[in-house]
Amino acid sequence: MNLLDKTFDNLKKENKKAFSVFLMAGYPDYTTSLELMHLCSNNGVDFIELGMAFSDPSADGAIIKMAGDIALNRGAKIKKTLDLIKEYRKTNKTTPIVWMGYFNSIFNYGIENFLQELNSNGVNGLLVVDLPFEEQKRLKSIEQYDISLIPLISPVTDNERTKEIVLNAKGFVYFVSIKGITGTKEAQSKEIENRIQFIKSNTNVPVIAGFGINDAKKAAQINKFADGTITGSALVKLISDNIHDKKEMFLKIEEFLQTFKK
Amino acid sequence: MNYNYPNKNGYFGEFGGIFAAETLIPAIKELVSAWDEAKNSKDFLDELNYYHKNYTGRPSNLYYAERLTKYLGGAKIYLKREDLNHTGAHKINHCLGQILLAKRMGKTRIIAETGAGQHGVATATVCALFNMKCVVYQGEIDIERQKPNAFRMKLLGADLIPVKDGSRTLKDAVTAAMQDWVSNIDNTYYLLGSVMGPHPYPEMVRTFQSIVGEEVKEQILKLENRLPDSIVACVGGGSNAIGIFHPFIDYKNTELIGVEAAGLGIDTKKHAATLAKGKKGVFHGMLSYFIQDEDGQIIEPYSISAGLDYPGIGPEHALLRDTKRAKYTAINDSEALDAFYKLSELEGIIPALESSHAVAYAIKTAPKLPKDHIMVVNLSGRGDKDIFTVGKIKGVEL
Repeated sequence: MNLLDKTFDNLKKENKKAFSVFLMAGYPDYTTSLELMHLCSNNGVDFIELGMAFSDPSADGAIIKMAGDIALNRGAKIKKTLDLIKEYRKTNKTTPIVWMGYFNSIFNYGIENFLQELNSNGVNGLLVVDLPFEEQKRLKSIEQYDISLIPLISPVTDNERTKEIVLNAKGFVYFVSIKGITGTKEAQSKEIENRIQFIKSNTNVPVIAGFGINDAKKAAQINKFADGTITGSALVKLISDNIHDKKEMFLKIEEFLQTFKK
Repeated sequence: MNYNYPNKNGYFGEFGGIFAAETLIPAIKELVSAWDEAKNSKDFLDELNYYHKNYTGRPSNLYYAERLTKYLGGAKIYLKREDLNHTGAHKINHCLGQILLAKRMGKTRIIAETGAGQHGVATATVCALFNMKCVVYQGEIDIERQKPNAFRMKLLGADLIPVKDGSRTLKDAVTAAMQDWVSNIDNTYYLLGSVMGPHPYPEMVRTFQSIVGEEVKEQILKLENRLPDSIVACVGGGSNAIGIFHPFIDYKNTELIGVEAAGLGIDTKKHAATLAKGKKGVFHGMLSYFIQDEDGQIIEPYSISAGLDYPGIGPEHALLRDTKRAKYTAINDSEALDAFYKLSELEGIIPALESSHAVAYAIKTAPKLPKDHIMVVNLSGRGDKDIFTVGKIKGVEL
């Protein structure tokens, strides 16, 4: 059974919402990035969305772009991100990892090799921001592996298209809560309630909201109708704000993560 | 016509398509259907032709460059004078088409990216003409090297936003414009400046630019009673080249030559020669060739000319190259600069640094060609905007 499915099943049994964070692989550096993954999973994060930096991240705002640029400057590579996951998996075999990235990286690496290596290194989900539903057949061979290809729905995806996209959804449906890029606007719960409910009426997999969820309060509002949330830019900013004091950084992050579990 | 690309999904062979975040997909689909409807509407095309003729001043001349021809002593060179269009370049052709489409779609806010500023100026111009709010993204470095155009855009009422990311050039301006589009899709039309991006842009911009090649066909038949042996155009994203190439694709005896920017040389790291040095990838909404590293990270390109300083190329050029229907070559900064001077001195025409790359190719090859070889060079823009860049290189204080 896919680790994502298992995690969601357990949460459901306990009547809990999923809490996830986005981390940029290799930010602020390879070692700290590995420590941050463990810090997150040790502080109640149910699954990790791990970003592979791209030189021109069109869906990301300034904060995540900055983290990506720093990661790339410090040598982030697809291979290194795979190593990072492998190393994390040496001690953590239970927290699902979703690889988040842009299609050009995968296309360039070679789709078949890439998927095979995701699988052998312990990745459980794949989220490709700029690969629309119509082009997902390019990743068809993902079906050979125990990896869920995560579909994205935006606030402007209409009903008909939403139904089509979620029809065979695996893992979870990623609901993009804002019309925009990461870290720029705050999600408006009133506007998205209907959309999430519509998605839920068309699929059995959980609906997880991301983009514009910057604190625990916002997450709680969204969780009234979503099955969980992902926080990205706010966490990356916390890392960046404390970049010169690792101890302080970890302390602040721990505090931040704990607020979501209350 | 035999050549019939793109297919209904926007593919030119294996190139093109729609690659964008889900938030953009509905807006792109809306654009696809609006375009499919407009391109067959007589009213739409009549209105567009009205503005081409009365506002831009079309048709542009096909001018026999007699002194240049005699100086080179080979092929007979004609210049397609897109530099004489209102706003000084071919960009106005697709700006008029797209603003009419935006109006038809009920959009009220126009965004655009620009490199050299020619597309930005043309966009700001049509926005003034049709009373639309206009926001133009331009890399900080490009604003600096194309100061006159930056000022013109502001004068025309556009909001010029300097892009400070990455190489601070055209690539980053495109990304910034796409991000704006994602964030304001309800009222905003993205007026893209080349034959690139997701479908339907490559097809739509090509259609609006094809008027250049259609005119050449008619004009050269009148002047020479036959089609040209070769057509030369510079290529960044590829809009002026596709415009002049497309009506000739089925005429196999006319050689089509695209000239990329070799910057400091294609064997250095400082160039923008995508077809010479790039590999297949997916970026800015399309599958095409891009200059990128082994991990698929886009490499910042370089050219003296801001309009060619782009790490990708329109998908149709990728197809034309791979099927060998068009040939692509590269001209470096100093060759382009020499051509800039040569055309100014011999013909009294100051070409844009972009177009200077095409002129340089003519200068390089025409002497080796027979005198009955007819070569048409697309003079895509005028060089007034470049005098500061050239002045700086030559140590002239302006």
